[in-house]
Amino acid sequence: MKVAQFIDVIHRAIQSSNETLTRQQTNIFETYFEPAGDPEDIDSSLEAVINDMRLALQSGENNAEAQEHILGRLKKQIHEIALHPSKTGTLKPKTITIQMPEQTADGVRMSEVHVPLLAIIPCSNTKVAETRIKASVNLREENSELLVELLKGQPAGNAGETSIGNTVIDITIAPQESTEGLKALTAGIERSLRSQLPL
Amino acid sequence: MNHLSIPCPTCATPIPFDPALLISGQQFACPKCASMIGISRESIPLAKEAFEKQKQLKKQNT
Repeated sequence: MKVAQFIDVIHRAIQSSNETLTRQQTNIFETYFEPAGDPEDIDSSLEAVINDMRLALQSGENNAEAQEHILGRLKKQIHEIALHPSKTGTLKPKTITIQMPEQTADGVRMSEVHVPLLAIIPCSNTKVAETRIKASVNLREENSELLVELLKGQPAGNAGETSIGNTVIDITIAPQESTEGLKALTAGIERSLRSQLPL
Repeated sequence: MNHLSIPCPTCATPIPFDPALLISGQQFACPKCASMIGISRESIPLAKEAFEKQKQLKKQNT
């Protein structure tokens, strides 16, 4: 095996581990966010279709093909909104309600503050922190090209390790610092909480 | 996940809390003004779901 191929296999193993981690983290995003929908987007799309219908009626157009075209557009819009509400707008954070007793003139009453779920149960952030490769190899040169030959008879990988021939790739994953996006979200959450402070 | 805090709705001082205990219904007090905070009953299922998913993810990656 060429050295470049050997390194490529290692790179791919690390990349695949990182992709799996990212996928796992992305998959639970729906736990924290939900489609916000954008009424303005929906309104403007539907308004355009309704306008076409109005123009067709005003002009007395009795063209079956044109009517079919307008109805098709309307159907498509409704279908799109029903199936993919997230496409019509952005995501908004799911919130939970935190209660606190508040002293008022009428006695103690419970006041509520809406807190993004992300502030209570933070997203875990993991990445591949270290990759250890144990391999017994023979390096040789053939036609001015460096080749790697994996030696047989080496111990197989332990559970959780990826074995390529007699090469063992041991991938360690560890928590990483919050991403810039998550930091921005946290700052936004804090602003949102402060805005709910009683005056 | 044991060193989280949330700004106090009264005085904005961070109130340290443990998510597992918060979800179980425990209240936490502000260290400055002693205001108590707790999660509403209606929000428990959503918080529990996120907590369990994070726990599962953490378990998978250890």
